[in-house]
Amino acid sequence: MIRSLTASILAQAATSLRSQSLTVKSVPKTISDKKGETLASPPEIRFEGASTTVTQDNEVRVERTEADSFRKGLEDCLDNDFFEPGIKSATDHYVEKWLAINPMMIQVETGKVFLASRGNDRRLIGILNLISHMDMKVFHPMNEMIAVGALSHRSTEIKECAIRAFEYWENVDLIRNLKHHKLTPKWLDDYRLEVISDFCGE
Amino acid sequence: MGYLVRKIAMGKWAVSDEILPINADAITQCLKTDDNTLSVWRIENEQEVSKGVLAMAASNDFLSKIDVVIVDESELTSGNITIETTPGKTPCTDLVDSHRDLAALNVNNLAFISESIAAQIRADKVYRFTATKIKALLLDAINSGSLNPELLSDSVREKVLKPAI
Repeated sequence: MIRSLTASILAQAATSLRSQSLTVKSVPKTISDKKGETLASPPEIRFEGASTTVTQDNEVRVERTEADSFRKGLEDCLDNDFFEPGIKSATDHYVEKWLAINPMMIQVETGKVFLASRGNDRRLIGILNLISHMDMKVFHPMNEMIAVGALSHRSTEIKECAIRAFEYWENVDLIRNLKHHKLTPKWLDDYRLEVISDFCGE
Repeated sequence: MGYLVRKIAMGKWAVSDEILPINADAITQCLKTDDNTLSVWRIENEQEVSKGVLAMAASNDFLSKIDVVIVDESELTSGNITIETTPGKTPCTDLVDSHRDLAALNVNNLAFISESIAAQIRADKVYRFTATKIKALLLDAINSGSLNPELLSDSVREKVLKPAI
């Protein structure tokens, strides 16, 4: 009776826990009575990472909310800001505030906005202005990928913004790679060559 | 009469060799007025173009390439453009008085100014100052005592005073 009741309770517990997406490490098959006769092994149930999983779910939810909030604000800034090279924009100020919270999230979400804005020159110019002023190492490789992608854009202004970003980062290795990106019109290609010359002496 | 230095964003000017109407972005974004004025820097001759660039670069938040064109002051006055002397917002104290406003501008004035600028672009007379050149200009100004580095933005000061690569 005890044996079947215990087994039933344990089985129910296991089923209940499984339904909550928790992992049951082991369910005992036998229990001992007071005389030492083996009825079942010790009721040892371990839930691998049960509380951790719940916490992680909450963390993911909070991060997602943060990311959505950041992204919405970034898109609003990009749509309304005026970008002038050399001048700190409202978008720069906005992103600065978020940097202290989660730099990795900013990198990922900025990359997502870039990809989603391929037909929106205004946003792309804003993003290129933004990433050029952000710490080159902290935002690598997303910043380099964005700038390299922008070099292939149809817009002259966007390509110019990309060269500006490379120039601002002052990274010789990245600038050396600009040799592979011949650009049009001529004045823009002259700018590219001058940046290469300034930093690589070639 | 002297010359006036005006910063332009080359990417906004879709100017071809053929004389066609100026594209709207060049006017609405590159010649964006404030209280119907446009900011320019006066120089005595074309060789002084770097003075105008220095004045602008020293007041910027970030070190960045600057493209400028030079327009003849007399050309603008002949086009009925009002030129006013106003103090320039630059930490280069020697250059504050060289600032001018193209003032009381209307849409006809903007069309005239944009044609003057487009003519310079067509003639390939755009002066490009890369970040490296600007850094050298700022450093020279600091070393000569005409620019207090403490008045530069943190970002510009850090780049200018950083040892060369």
